[in-house]
Amino acid sequence: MKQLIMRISFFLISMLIFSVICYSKTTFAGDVQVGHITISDPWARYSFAEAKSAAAYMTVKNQSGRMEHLIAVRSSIAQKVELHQTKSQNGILKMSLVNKLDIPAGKTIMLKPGGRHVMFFGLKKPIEEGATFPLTLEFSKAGKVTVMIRVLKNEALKKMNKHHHKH
Amino acid sequence: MQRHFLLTGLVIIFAILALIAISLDRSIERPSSQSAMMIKVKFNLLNQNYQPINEVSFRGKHTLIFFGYTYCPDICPTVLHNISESLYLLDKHLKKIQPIFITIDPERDTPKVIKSYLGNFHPLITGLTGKPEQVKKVAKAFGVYFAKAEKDKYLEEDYLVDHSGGIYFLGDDGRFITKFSHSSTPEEIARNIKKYL
Repeated sequence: MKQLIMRISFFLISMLIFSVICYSKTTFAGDVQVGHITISDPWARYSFAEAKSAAAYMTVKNQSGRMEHLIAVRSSIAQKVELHQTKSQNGILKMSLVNKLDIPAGKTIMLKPGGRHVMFFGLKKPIEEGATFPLTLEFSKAGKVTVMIRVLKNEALKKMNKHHHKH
Repeated sequence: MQRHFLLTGLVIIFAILALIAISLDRSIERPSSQSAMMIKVKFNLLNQNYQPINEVSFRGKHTLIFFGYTYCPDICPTVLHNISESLYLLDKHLKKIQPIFITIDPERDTPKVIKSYLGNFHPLITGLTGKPEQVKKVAKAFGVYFAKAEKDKYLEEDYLVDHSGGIYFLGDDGRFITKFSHSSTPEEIARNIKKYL
């Protein structure tokens, strides 16, 4: 009996360790899932020493049959984090606040340079190339999820874009 | 009958070629009658090494000018990144070109801040800042609009600035040649610059 309990406990602990390993792997492999929402390739451009702002980008896929909304973004790296969109109106570039980002059923929404992005105001310290930092996203139906944002150098962006074109 | 087919075919081919030509040229905004002239303005600005720069400092070189600000985290670094990539493509011609970043936010963008900021981009890019009225004067000469967006009540120093997004290309005599859209790719910028060198 004692041996059986031991075996069961061993099995459960192994399962726990295994699931923790799997979880951390999925977190760092790029794709993060919450409900029917998949977030892939979250990244930010590395900042310079005096930088007080930054922007992060990612791809958000809604695999459900219902409309989703990205309603909040939070991170401890900056004083304020918001969803923004850069728009060109008569040749004038403006960044404006997006209160909620629509992610229609079955659609993929790209946050990319020159368009929609997560805006960080009042960076507490510069974000360095190769570093990662957590960003929590809150969706209207799927709920909250934390993704690790990879900080990339400008040169690396090009390589990443090329890599994407191959697919 | 066969001739009809041939004619229709030719017309279609020409139409496709014309469409391709138009789409290839979308990065060039035709100079308006107002801007198709010498950009005449006297100014005194500082570069990222605190050296004085005026309207004749870059004579003898074609200049590629982008107005922006370092606090802008999305579009400005994207444009400067594309300009940097175009400069790598223009490798052999770089002796003839001076790329310039002019801040429209001189209050926050000191030469020191600009120097640090430019470390992310092609080393040939010079950054200019100066007294607000001097910056205003240069921007006005280029027809560049800029204005502070609404300030945030909690983060007063973290304001954003709306600004014109074109990339200006001037001849070695300071004459306006053309303007590229902020969304031009490095290849489009490099290809069009080569035409004028």
